[in-house]
Order: sequence, then C-alpha cells, then structure tokens
Amino acid sequence: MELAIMHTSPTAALPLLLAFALHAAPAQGELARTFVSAATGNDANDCDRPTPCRTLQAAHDKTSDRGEIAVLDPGGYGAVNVTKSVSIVNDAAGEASILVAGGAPGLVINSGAESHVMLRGLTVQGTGLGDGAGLVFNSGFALSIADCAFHHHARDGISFAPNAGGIYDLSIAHTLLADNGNMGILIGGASAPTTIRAVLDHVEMLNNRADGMFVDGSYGPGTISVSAADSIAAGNGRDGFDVFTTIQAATSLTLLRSVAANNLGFGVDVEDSPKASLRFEHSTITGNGHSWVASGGAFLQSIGDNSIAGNGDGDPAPPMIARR
Amino acid sequence: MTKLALSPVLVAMLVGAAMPAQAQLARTFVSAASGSDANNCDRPTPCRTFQGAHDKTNTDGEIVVLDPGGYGAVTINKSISIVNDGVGEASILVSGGSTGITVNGGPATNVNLRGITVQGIGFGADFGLFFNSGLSLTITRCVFRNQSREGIIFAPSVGGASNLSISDTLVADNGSEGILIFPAASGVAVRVAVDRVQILNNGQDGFELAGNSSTGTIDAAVTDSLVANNRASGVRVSSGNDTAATSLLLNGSVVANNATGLEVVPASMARLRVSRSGITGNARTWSLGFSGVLQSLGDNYIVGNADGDPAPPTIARK
Repeated sequence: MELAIMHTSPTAALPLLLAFALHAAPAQGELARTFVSAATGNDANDCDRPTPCRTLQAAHDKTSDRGEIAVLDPGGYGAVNVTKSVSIVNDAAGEASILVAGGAPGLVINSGAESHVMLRGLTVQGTGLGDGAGLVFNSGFALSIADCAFHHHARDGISFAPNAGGIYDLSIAHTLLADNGNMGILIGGASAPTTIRAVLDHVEMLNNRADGMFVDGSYGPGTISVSAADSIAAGNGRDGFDVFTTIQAATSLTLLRSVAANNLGFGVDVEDSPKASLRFEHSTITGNGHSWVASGGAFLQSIGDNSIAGNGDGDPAPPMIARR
Repeated sequence: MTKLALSPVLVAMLVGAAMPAQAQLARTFVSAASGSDANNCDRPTPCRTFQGAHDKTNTDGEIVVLDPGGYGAVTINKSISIVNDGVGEASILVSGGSTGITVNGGPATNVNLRGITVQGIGFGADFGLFFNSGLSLTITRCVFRNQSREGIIFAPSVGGASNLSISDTLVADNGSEGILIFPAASGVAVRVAVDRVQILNNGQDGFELAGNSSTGTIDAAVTDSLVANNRASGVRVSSGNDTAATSLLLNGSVVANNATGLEVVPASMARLRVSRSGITGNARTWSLGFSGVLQSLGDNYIVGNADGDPAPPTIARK
C-alpha cells in the first residue's frame, strides 16, 4: 500500500484531486453560503456577504445544494419553496419573518429524496388572508426545525405529510405553534409504504383550533414513530395529542415529561385500530374536557407515574405498564 | 422547475409587507435609533414607539423590533405580534399609575409578545401587563418587573374563552402579585398554561388563580417553573362556593422561601394539585381551608419548611 502511494507521482494525482474539487464545487453561479438582508438586500445581487439578497427564495435559488442561507438583520423575507438540501439560519439577528397570505404556505419543502433541510430562528405568521399553512413538507429526507414560531395560520402550523412513500425524519425543537386554524402539527404518511421517524423537544402547541398534534397513519402502510419530550399541548380546540390509524401504518407516540392541559377534547387520544399506540410517562394531563381515550383496539399505556388530575371526566386511571 | 406560482403582486405582498389598507402595513418596524412616529413604519422608515407602530399595523400583522431601546407603553386592540428576536433589550418603562401593555382585544383576537422587558420605575400604581379582553395572549421570553402593582394581571371582563400562555419569562420584584389571573365576568372559560417561568420577590402572592369574581371555569397548568421569595403565598388558588370552578395543577416546579408555599382558600370551587415539585424554605408549607382541594400526587419533595413539613393529602399517580 505504501509503495503504491509512493509510486503515484504528483502529476498523476493532480487530475484526481481536480476531479474531487470540481465535484465539491457549486454549480455555476451558485454559492455555498448566501446572505439575506431586509435592510440592504436586493435580489439582483449574487447574495454574497457584501451584496446580500432580499428574499429567502432568491437566496435559495442562488445557493448550492447542501449550502446555507444566513440572515443578517430583522425583517420580512417572504415565502420560500425549498427544492434542495439547504440550511436557513437566523441566529438571533432579530426577527426573520415570513408573513403568509393568499393561500400559499410560508415554507414548502419539495426537496429530493436524500435532502436534508434545516430551519432555525424563523417566524412564520398568517395574516388572515387566504387559506395558508405555516410549513408544508411534501418531499425530502430529513427536516430539522429549531427556534421557530408558526402562528395564526388558517390551516396547520406544520404539515408533515410526504406525498410519496419512503423514509423520512422530522425533528422539531424549541418551537412554538399557536393560534392556528387546524392542527398545530400534523404528521401523516403517504399512500405508498412510508416510514416516518419524528422527535419533538421543548415544543409548545397552544390554542390551535383542532389538535395540538395529530399523528395520522391512515393514509397508507408503513410505520410512523413519534416521540415528544418536554413539550406542551395546551388550550387546543380538540385534543392535545391525537394518534389515529386504521389497518394502515403502525402509528405510535411516546410522551416524556410533557403536558396536555386545558384542551377542549381529550388530553391524549389514540384510535382507531390495534396499530395505534400511545405511551406516556412523567407527564401531566390536566384541565382537559376528558383526560384520555383509547378506541378501536388502540393501545394507551401509562408508565404509572403521570399526574392526571382536574379533567372533566374525573381522571380515570389509564392502563398501566411497568417501568423496567 | 416546480416552483410555486407566485405572482409578482403576491411576492410583493409577502416580502415587502406592502399590503396597504388605509395606510396600514401587515408588517411594521420600530427603531429606537432611527425611528419616528411620523413615518409609515416600513423597514426603511421605522416608527419610534410600539403604539405608533400598532396603530399603523393591519389586524393579524406584526411589529418587528430593529434595535435596543425604549418603545413606550402600548394598548393593543387587534390581533398582532410584537417580536424582538435578540436585537437587544426592547423595553417599556412604566410610571405614574399607568400600564406597560394593555390588551383590549375582541373575542377572536390573538396577541403574541416575544422578547419584551416591561419595568416599573415607581411614581404610582403601575401594572406590567393588563389583559381585559381577547381570545388568546401568548408571552415568550419576556420580563415583567418592579411594578408597584401586579407584574401580569389577566382579568377578562367578558365571558367566553380567553387563553393565556407564558413561557421562558421572568416576573419579579412587583409590589402586588407576580401573576394574577382574576376574571370578572360570568360564563368565563379561562385556560392558562405557564411553562418555565420564574416568579420571584413579589410583594404579595407569586402566582394567584382567583375565581372569586366570575362564574364558569378557570383551568391552569404551571410546569417547570420557580416561585420563590414572595412575601405572601407562592401559589394561591381562591374562589367561592358558587363562583368559577378554579383549578391549578403545579408540576415539576419549585416553591421556595415564601410566607406560605401553597394556599387554597376555604371554598369548594378552589382546587390545587401538585406533583414532582419541591416545596422548601417556606414559613408555612401549605394552607387548606375546610372545603377546598389540595392534593399531592405523592411525589413531591417537601423539606425545610418552618412548620415541620406536614404531609398534604395525597392522590395516586396514574
């Protein structure tokens, strides 16, 4: 091995190195890192640091695959249709906002099957005009959302419902979903076999007109596994956490140290077949119309250490399993 | 390309927030450095005060803070967000018997506040935030301190639903209650969610849920919070025998160094449950009247209180 390397002359290695370099280089006219500024940006620019773009969409279109968009200052950056692997990051430069009007979502993810999309520090707000949602995920592989807010949309705050079968990862951390007209978060499969792995950490789902979170496995076969830690679903018009499936995808939700409070329907709701399951531990269920329901053979299991009190149904004890 | 078909007009609406309806914008800006309330509050020509921007913002719009400084008291009468996402302190100083933020919304009004500091400087009976009406108020990453009266008073004066959510917020050094939930109407449906909030050094109760002046229901959950060093009770639930059903569940929190840790007044409609919390350093651990409900889930740490840490009534975890 050592001999072989020594016998490879620098001249012979050069084309190889060049090939790697070219492979890693962005497509023509695209930058690996672009910038947006509400103060000085212009979409006629190339989006580099001295001459930033004005909108997220223009920056996205001028960012190479696997690149990133950095927000420079507070302001509105417009709706964006994401079609590649990209990070959009506002690290406390001030509010980076997307106002939603006219029926189109604030953020749409239409990326390729191996794409990773990361969103950080964005506020997406509905303006009461049109039938819009905060974020709609149609395709891609992994979507990570941190430090964002999605509120006051006519439809869902976040709709993660891939339109084709496949494997998908979703993570949401330190994010607020409030005052939306339908679900705070909707997670659902496609008609073809779908695997969705989703985690939530420190997510607040407040005052949404339907459920705080709705996990729906009824669209097709596969597996949908969701874990939510240190999260809260409160004041929603229907259920706090709702898991639903039929004979289709095996659909499960695990709640850790989370809160379902003051929801008009059930605190936690799992239905409508034995393929649906919901487990919860160290969690608080209070002030709901009803504390919990499991119907259609669905599994609801408490680890026996939850605080269930002050609900409208008198706080019946759920089925329990042992800790190990 | 599979781009969204966005018309130039729509792009202009979404991006520039240029949605003029009677000279109002969907998105307005405030700057302490360069703002003037004679401006229209757009990005190049921001306003100076929250009130100036509020009055020039469409219903369902938002106000964006551009830089650190004082932005003045504001009375909110529409659905709106006021957001400071880390540009420096966006402050409201309160004095002379006034209120920092007043919410007078309609029955469908949603108000969002983020990253605002409201501080009293004396000279009168001041409130940090006074909520009179609206459907929902969501407060994150704010500070309400040093008011001569309550830090936050949530007092719906009309019946129906009103939701209050507070997270990652400090309420300290106020003369009366830190946070007082006190609706004054019949048929209220008040729902409160408090998460990761510090309620410190207030002159009366830290957190009080009061159903005395209303009928209907008041449901509250306080989680992962700290209620300490308040002069009266850390957490107090009050109501009457025929007033609003008033219930609080306190979970994962610390109640320390108050005159009384947990107080439930003698009224059948007052209910407080506590789980996985630490109750310590209070002169009196808890106080329960003959007809209220105070229940421990049996998993609290109750030590170091001056009355010898009596065990409260317990119910089972599930």
